Amino acid sequence: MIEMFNGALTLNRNMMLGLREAPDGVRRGFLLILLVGLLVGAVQGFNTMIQTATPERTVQNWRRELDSQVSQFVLTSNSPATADITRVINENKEPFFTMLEELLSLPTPLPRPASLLFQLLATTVSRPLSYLSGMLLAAAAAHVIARQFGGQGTIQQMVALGSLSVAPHALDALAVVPIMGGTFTTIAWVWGLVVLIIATSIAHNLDAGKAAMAVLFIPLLLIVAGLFSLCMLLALLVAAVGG
Amino acid sequence: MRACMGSLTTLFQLALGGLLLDPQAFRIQRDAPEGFGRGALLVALVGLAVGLAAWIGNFGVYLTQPDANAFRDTLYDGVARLPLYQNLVAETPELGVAFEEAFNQPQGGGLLATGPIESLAGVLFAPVFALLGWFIVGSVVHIAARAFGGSAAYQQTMACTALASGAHLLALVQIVPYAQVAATTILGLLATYVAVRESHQLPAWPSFWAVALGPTLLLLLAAIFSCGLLFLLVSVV
Repeated sequence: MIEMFNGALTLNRNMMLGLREAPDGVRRGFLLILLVGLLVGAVQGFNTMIQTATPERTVQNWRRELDSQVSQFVLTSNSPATADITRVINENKEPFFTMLEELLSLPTPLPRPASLLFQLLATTVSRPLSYLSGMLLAAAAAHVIARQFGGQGTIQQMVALGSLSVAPHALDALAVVPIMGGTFTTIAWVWGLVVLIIATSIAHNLDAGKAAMAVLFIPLLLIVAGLFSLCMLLALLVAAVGG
Repeated sequence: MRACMGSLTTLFQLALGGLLLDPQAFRIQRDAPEGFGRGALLVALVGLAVGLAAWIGNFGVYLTQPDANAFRDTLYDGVARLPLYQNLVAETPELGVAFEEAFNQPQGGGLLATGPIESLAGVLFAPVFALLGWFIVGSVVHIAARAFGGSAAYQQTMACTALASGAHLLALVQIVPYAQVAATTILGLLATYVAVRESHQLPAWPSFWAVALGPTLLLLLAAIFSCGLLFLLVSVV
């Protein structure tokens, strides 16, 4: 498994060719996702557990988050509407946070550490499924277009090789690092995309250009369709208000 | 007893084959004379197991949440103390009435997990809904696959599509309170695609469309309905 993980990160062609021909390729791919997902989920779960250890600390984090959002909001605009919104938020935030702290402090049948432990376990076991879901969507979309480009791979080969694209997401475990967290996540995402393109190229015996098109075509189409729908909606709303 | 354990092991291996998109498992189902009955049993057992896991997880959530009445009272007092709420009620008294009505709902207005007795019905209904879903999806896929030139009998399509319920084994994760399920729908669709390919011996594209036709038509209907609703709203405005 570690060999496969390293092979995915280093874009090892021989390892990928071996996985394509392996009858248990999907099982091995899913195991890799499980491994990476559990690692990232456990780290993120522990981080959340520390941040939400007490009701006071939970509310303190939310308060800090709101203050940061409001500061950014004020920096981006100085219109009278912004001033009004900021005033309403400042008037209401303390009573609101007091209410949240009271809600979190209410007695429960099991003590608070049990709830924290459940949430740690939930974050740990949910992360592999969220990675699997994203990978399957990307692999299925890439498979459909790759077949249009003359690709000959089966869906099993595409899923097995597509699973390798989750390996770089082990970097998501470092997302908890202050300031640098977002950078690690971005690197993981781009690296995963490169692995998926190479995986598509090997699964379907396509050149890298066609594989890149196969991977990016549907996401780009969806973005264009989304923007078009948004424009249509805005035009409709403007027409309705104006007319 | 040994025979029963043997059948359960076979069923588990088939479900795992469905989950891992193993073509061999689908071929075994296609060629087995008892494939249809075994498929129905598999779908019902997976549904029951998932329902039971969800019930246990929900019970865990219930045990870590406060009493619904205490939660509702604290929320009510907290919202009523907000200056924003007080200003809004002063301007629009109807809002206060609507707020009171919302807070008279039992179980914290749906914000909290239901108790173990109330959610027990979910365990009983889970296999029924799973079987119902299998019949509907399997039948639609069979009709579409035959229209695209497929040759399998109805029983063979159903026997193979039953393995797609193996994807729902992922939902067993719900046994952990607060766990989030994902990937079951997309993996189920992929397993259904493999089921059509293996049962009807169809090429890739007809198999794809046999599976995608139902969801595509549903999406199209939903889009038409949403657009109609939007035009209605705009015309009212």
